[in-house]
Amino acid sequence: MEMSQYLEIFIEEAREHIQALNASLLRLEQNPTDKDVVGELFRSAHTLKGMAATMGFSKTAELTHRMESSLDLVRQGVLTPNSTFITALLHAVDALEELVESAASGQEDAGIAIAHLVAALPTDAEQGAAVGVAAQEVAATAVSELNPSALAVLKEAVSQGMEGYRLDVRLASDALLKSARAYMVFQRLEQHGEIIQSEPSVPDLEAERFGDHFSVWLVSAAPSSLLQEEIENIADVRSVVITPLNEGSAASGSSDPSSDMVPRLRTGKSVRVDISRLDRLMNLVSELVIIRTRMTQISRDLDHRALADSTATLNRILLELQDEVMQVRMVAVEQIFSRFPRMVRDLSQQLGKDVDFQISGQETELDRTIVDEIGDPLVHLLRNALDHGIEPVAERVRLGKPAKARVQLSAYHRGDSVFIEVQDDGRGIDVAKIKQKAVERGLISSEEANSMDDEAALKLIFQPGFSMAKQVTDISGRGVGLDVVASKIASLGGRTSVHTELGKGSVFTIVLPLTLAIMATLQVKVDAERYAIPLSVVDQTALLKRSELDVIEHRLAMSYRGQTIPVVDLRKALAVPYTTPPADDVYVVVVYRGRRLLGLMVDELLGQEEVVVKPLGRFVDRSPGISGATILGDGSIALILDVMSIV
Amino acid sequence: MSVAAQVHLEEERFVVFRLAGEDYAIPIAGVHTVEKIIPITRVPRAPEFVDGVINLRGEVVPVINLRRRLDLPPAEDTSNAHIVVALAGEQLVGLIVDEISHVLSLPSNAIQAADQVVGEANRSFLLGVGKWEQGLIIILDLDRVVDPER
Repeated sequence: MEMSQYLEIFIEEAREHIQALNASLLRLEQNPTDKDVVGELFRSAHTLKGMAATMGFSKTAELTHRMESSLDLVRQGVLTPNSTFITALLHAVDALEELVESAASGQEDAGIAIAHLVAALPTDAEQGAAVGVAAQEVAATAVSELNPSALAVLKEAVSQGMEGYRLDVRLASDALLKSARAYMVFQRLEQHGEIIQSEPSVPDLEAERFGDHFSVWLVSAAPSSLLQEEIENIADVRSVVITPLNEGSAASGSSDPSSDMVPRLRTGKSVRVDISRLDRLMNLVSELVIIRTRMTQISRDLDHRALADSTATLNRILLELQDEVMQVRMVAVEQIFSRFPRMVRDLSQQLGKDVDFQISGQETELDRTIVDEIGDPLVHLLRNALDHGIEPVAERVRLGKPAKARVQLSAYHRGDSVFIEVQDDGRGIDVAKIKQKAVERGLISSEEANSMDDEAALKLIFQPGFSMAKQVTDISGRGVGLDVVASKIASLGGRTSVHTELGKGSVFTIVLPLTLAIMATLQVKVDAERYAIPLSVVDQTALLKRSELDVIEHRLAMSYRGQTIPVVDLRKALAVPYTTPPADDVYVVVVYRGRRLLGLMVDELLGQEEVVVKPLGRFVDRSPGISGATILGDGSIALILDVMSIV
Repeated sequence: MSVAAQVHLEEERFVVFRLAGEDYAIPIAGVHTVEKIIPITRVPRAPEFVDGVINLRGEVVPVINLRRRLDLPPAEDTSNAHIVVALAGEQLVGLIVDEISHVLSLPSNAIQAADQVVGEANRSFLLGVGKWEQGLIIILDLDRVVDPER
């Protein structure tokens, strides 16, 4: 491994710890007596300190060291955390974030001042000597011998003809990420035997609480020369001294009843994989899906039994493969949600608003690429809610609303989609004002405004050039409007909508596909053209006589499950060139359009098909009613309908 | 790319094609492939100058009807028509042309700003006009041709 790879690991893990620190601090603020949270904070600071020190990031190490010391006082019950203390810690975490981000270039930014932050954190007098304390710990423990349970394992192993060894491993003093090296030593040794004890203990090794050497007790059938060679081949291992143990010498060892049998180092249960490799894997699977479709077609055409059977098997395996790859790419939205409590806290303080921020459904999973992209849109929606949605405290009190406002961020699954909602109990959106503003901005004429219903008018806020902010504020008046949110979400194959009630609040809803690449569709024919309707929106299909459709105010409608739903003639809606006269028998595909039902009139149903979604490309992708394209088994293209924008 | 930027180039190579009896060209650097006419799938409510999309070896690529884009009458003879697939920004697009002619190298001083030579209608899509022994050649600015705002 090269330095840069260590750096990458460091940065990534440091970011996770910083996020954890932020989250725990907010929890501590809510509940200052929660000792578990203090423990978590302490551990994060401690780990970060160790990592930073090995990477040579002294400022990060110094700051985390101070945090750790302060938190230790809380842990011991010497100090009770108050808001000043928590704010000091939050500021320290902010500085840590800056330091870590600057460290991404390989060096900490010398310009980031931490002295005042360090000074703001209380500590006890002995803390200055912390390095010395750590050193003593190592020295004191290095001489201890086998504990009783390890001794029992050794006796058992020896009776089975195995050997016991003590290996003293010394790492190069300038080695980076020593715990990683220790881990490699453990991993190699475990291939040849069983580790029965270590000095320092495994948690200390993992946390990098050791100098440049450690000892491992091992029972193994392998000769010591092999072990020697194995360990010496590990980079950064300067020397290894192997001492065979015999039962006698083992028995004479003093025992340390406090330390138990060594838990194994966490061995490779998970790997970090570059997202681009997953993308490549996904692409390959997509190619397979296309070929699969083609083969199914061929075997159908040939009417070849054996081929059909094989294709069916291929199909099944491919579905599983597809599922697995999809699963691998899924991550919980928590990854982005976790930074919001801190943001909302800071923002509401800045705005002088009192906000109770609730998050639910953070375990909801989405494709990694989508998760990476929705952070900014959500930041925008939350800022909007705080800045424009929530009234100032005085106004809330005057209106008889609770002074503490509520903002809720929730995520949940429904069918093939994930819904993310940002809800506030603020002033809501005044549709009349929207119309007025849209007219002012020249987005619509005043005649259009008069005839426009509320739903349509609300959609105007997602139009480019429409910004609701009365004045430019630091929070959301940065020239980025909701149109940016809407277009970002649309580019991910999702959609944005809003429900509002004047005086009561608004809900912004983002609906996203679970995954970008593969979609189950219903294939239909409209005159001579072929289209794909996402199966996730299809409720049912029906075959009717044209005469069975109603016409209400010049619009087609049908009765369905006791209600009347609008029907769209796709020949007209898609302006399909006329090649065949419409038959009297028509098919209607009933789809969900948001919460409402809509019938789509088509000429023929061709069946279900899993397709690989391809983007349409610039200047075609804005075509209303169409969300993408797919290549069929015969090489032709079918367009994928977007029922939200079709009418 | 502006005309001024072009002037600094010593020599540039172009793919030359015919359109309504005239020679047009685009810089060869952006040209991806040249295809025979393949089935085009219509995209409803797409910009008027877009004929649809094609399947270019697994990629879905929009196709522009250049004649319509440049306000030229529809072609009578389409037997030699081709689709020139080129990169506009980061997007592959196909351009339907009457006929592919050849590849031409032009020194930069043979390229002039468009307004000296052609009328108002087409000017906004032009990079410039090139002069060579067989006459004038109209050099298209692909980024502008694909911009639906123009």
